[in-house]
Amino acid sequence: MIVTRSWLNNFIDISEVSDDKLYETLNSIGLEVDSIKKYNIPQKVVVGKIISCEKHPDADKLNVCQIDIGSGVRQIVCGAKNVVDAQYVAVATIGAKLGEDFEIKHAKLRGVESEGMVCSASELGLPDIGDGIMILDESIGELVVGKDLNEYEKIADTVIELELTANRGDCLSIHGVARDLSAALNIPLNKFDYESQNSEKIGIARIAKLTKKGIIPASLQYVMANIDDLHTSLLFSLRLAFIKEPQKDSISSILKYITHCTGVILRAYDISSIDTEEDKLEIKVTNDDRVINIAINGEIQSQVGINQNEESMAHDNASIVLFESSYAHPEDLVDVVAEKKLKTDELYYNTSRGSEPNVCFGVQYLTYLLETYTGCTLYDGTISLDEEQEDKIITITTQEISTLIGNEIEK
Amino acid sequence: MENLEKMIEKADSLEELEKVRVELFGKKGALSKEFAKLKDVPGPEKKAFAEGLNQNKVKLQTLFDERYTTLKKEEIEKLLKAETIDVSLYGNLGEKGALHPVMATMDKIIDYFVALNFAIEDGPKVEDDFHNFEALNLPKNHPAREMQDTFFCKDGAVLRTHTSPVQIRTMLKQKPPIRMIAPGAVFRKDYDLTHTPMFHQVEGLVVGEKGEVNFANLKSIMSEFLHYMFGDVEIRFRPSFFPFTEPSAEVDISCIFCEAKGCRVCSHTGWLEVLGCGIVDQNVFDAVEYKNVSGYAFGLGVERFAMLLHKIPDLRMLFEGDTRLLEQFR
Ligand SMILES: [Zn+2]
Repeated sequence: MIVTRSWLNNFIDISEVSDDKLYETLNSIGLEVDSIKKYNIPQKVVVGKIISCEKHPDADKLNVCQIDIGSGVRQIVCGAKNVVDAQYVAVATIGAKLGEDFEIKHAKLRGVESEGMVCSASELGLPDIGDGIMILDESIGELVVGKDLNEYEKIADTVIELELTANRGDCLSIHGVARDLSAALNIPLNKFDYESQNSEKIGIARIAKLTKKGIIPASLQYVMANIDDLHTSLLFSLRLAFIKEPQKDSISSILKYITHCTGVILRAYDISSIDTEEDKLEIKVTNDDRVINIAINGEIQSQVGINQNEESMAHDNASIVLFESSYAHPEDLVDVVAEKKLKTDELYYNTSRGSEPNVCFGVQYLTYLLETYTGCTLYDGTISLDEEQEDKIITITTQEISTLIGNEIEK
Repeated sequence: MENLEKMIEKADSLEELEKVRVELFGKKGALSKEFAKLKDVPGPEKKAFAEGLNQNKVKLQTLFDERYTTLKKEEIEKLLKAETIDVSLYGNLGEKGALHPVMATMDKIIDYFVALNFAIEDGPKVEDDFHNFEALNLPKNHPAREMQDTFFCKDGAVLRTHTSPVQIRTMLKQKPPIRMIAPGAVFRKDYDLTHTPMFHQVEGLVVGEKGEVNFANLKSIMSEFLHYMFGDVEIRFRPSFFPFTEPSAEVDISCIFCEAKGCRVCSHTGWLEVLGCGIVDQNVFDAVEYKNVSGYAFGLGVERFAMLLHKIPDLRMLFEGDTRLLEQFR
C-alpha cells in the first residue's frame, strides 16, 4: 500500500506533522513503513505559460515557444510533440540543475536561441507519466506563472510505502490509513461529502431497474453517466504513477484512483448500446450458490467482489457508462472462490481482505471527480441494494488487557 | 643337526625363514624323514632314538621361534621407519572442517534458551494441514496463508512452512506448563536475494496458567536475548500481525552496519527486523483444548541472524557450499 502526504491531506490535516513523526506513528500503529521518498523539484524550475508555439524553421521535430515565466517572456526550443497542446508547463530556467552534471544554459538549437527547457515528469525526477512534456493543470493547485514547482505539494510530494499485514484490509486505501492516523495523532478526520450538481435531468430510475433474487449478502450502488470530455488530470496521472499503478485509459484511471483513495470497489459497464429514450436497463442480482451474479439485460456480466466480463468493461470510447460500487464479505468470498476455483481479477486482492463497506462513499467520490474534472453528466440519483448490517460488538475489559500485556495502562 | 641349526640362523628374512620351516618341519621335511627312520630302529634302541629326535626337535623349534621373533621385530621396525611421518609438517591434504555458520548460529541461539531451562522439541518436516495451518488459526482460504508460499504434496500434505507446528505437537503431547524451543529446517517456494526454498527457524513457546505469562515477560526475554546475540543494540517492538498470536509484534534492532545512521542494508531506516513474537491467540489454545492458560511465542530465521552476525550480504551464499566462504569459519 502506497500513500502520499498530500493525498492523506485530503482527509486529515498532517501539514504540521513532520516526516519523522509520521514514520514513527505509522510504525507504532502496525502499519510498517517500507520506504519514504520525498520528491524534490530542482530550484529554478517554475510554472510557465506558453504564449505562442511555432515550428522551427530548420527542424521538423522542434518547436519554438514563447513562454511567460513570470519574470518575463523567454524563447525556448522544445522537441516534445505534445507541447502544441499545452498551455501551462514546467520550465527549467537558466541556472536550474536537473542533475549532477546537467545545468540549464543559454543554447542555440539549429540556429535558434533557447533560454531554458520545457520538462517532462521524469526529467524532474518524478515517476514517468507517459510520453512528452508534463502539461500542468489546476488539479495540482492554482497555477501561478513563475511560481517554483517545488512549492506545489501535490507534485513535490512525499511517497510512503507501507507493508500491510493480511488482516488490514481496512488500510488498503488513503482514507483507511488517514482514519488510523487520525486516531493515533488525535487529528480529526475530514468527512467527505458531495452532492451532485447534475445537469442531466433524467433520473437513473427512469431507465434502470434493479431487482434481486434470494438473499444477497452484499451492498451495491449504481450511477449512470453520459461520457464526455473524458481526460485525466495531471494529479491523477502523477498519483497513479506514485502508487505504481499507471492505467491505459481514463475510465480505468478514475476507477483505480477512487478505489485507492476510498477503498470502495468500483466497476464500470459499457451500456452505450442502449437507447435511453426507449430501452430499459435491467440489473438483476442473484445469489447462485453463494456467488453473487450481476446480470445486465439478461447476461451475467460480473460476480461481486470476484470478477467482471472483459466485454462489458467500459473504455474511453463508451458513450454511456453504468458505474457500480460494491461490497461483499471477505470471509464469504475466499471460501466460495477457493471451493469453486473461480477466476479472480486484481480487485480480489482488496475484496478478499475486506474492501470499504460504505459503498455510498465510492459513488459520491466518483460523482465529485466526474463533475469536477470531466465533462460527463450524471443521471439523477442512484439505485442501490443495501444489506442490513449488524453492528459487531467486541467485549474486553481493561483488566483483561492489563493481564495480557503485564502492565497497567492509564485510562 | 648342526646343518639344520645353521639353516635357521642363516635365514635373514621372514620369507626365507618360512622356506626353512617347510624344509625342517614340513610333512616331507628333514625332521619327518628322521622320524620315519624310527620304524627301522631295532626295539631296544627305539626309545633312546626317539628321545634324541624329540630333544632335537624341541631345540630346533626353540631356535626357530627365536629367529622368527627377531626377524618379525626387524620387519616391523623397517616398516615403521619407512612409514614414519612428521606430524609437525604442513600437509596439503586432509583439511579440517568446521561448523557451518548457520549451524554455529543455531547452536548459539539454542545455548541461550537451554540455559533458561527451555526444552528442545522437534517435529516432522512433512506436515499435515492441521498442524501447519488450521490449529495455528490459519483457516482454509484465509489470505494470511498467502504470507507463506507453500510446497504442497499431492495428498494435501505440506513441507512445513514454519517451525510453529512443533508448538501444536508439543501442546498436544504434553500438559502445561510448557517452555520449549523448536529449531529446524522449514520450506517455502521462494528464491531471491533474501529468500531460499529451505531455511532454518527457531520457534519458542511458553505456556503457563492464565495471567502467569504476559507480554511484559516476552518483551524482557526477547530484549535480553537480542543483547546476548548482537551486543549493545537498541531494540524496538513494532505492532504487527501473525494469525497465531494476538497482540503480535515484530522486533527490530538498531542497524549494526551503520550504527542506525541509515544505510542500504537497513533501507535507510536505521532498523533491522530480526524476529516476530506475540501472545498466543486464544484460537490456538482452543485448537489443542487448553483451558485457562496464557502464553507467548516467538520465531526467528537463523540464516538472517547468521547473515547479520557475520555481515554476509546474500542469503544464497549460505547454501552454495563454496569452501572459500566456509573456510572463514574454521
Ligand atoms: Zn543501516
